[in-house]
Amino acid sequence: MEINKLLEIEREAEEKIKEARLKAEKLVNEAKKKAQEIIKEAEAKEFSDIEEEYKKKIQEEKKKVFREYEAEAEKIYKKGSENVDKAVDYVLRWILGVE
Amino acid sequence: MGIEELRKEILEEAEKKIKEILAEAEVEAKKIVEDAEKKASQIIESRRESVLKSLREKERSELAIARIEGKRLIHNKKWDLVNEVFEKVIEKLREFRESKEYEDVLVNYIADAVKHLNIDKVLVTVNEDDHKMLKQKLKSIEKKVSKLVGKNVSLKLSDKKLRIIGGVIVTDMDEMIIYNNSFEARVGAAKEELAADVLNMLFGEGM
Repeated sequence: MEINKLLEIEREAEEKIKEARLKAEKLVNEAKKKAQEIIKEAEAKEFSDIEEEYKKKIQEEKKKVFREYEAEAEKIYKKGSENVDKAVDYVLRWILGVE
Repeated sequence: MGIEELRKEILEEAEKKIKEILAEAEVEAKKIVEDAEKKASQIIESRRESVLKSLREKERSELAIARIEGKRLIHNKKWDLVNEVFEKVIEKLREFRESKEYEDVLVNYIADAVKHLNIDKVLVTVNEDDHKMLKQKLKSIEKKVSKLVGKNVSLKLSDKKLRIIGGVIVTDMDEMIIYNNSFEARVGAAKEELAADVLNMLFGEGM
């Protein structure tokens, strides 16, 4: 009788341990699932803010480059304009066969 | 030891074991999440770097294109002025046609053509205005050309009247060989021959 009682107690204890193991397994599985979600989210993360910011920066830099070249072109054109008459005279003399 | 005491001991042992199992599971679960968070941070950082690298490449490439376009702008601006020079040259040539010196230039052009064609009898074609002038002065011009060439040259004025600014087109009598000394042809030749000189004169540089 006492042995039977003892066996029943042991079975009860084993049952509780088994339940705990299941609970532990569930806990680990949930953690694995959460980990997968974390990785998936990282892999899907978008960087549109960085891209937008960079695109604006590139546009600004391009505009700056253009402004510099436009200013240089104007400067060169202005400088060249001062020599147009001399160049016209030179070409004209060549065409008319004076030289 | 009584059965009740034994029961208590077994259950206490079991409780201890359960606590251990759950504690271990919690540690493992926490580690799994922490590892995932670390890995996620690395993934995000790596992807962020990759996005930045690609944006930097885009920046380099777009700025390089912008610089090429900028250089083209300067190049085009220079050529605008070179073209202005040749447009002014054409204006000056139209004015020059009205001058006294124009006749001498025509003589030189005909002589130059005769030398190049290396023939004695040539057909001279000009525009309508010059046609009238040459018709009147053909013999005197023929003498001047002969003197310049150093041999007797016979000139015949073509009935054709060209739509050219000035100058002449000289051919043999069959019009098989042509020497184009029209102003248009000379301007075209000047563009090819003198472009580098003109650029140098205007901007202090070669082609």
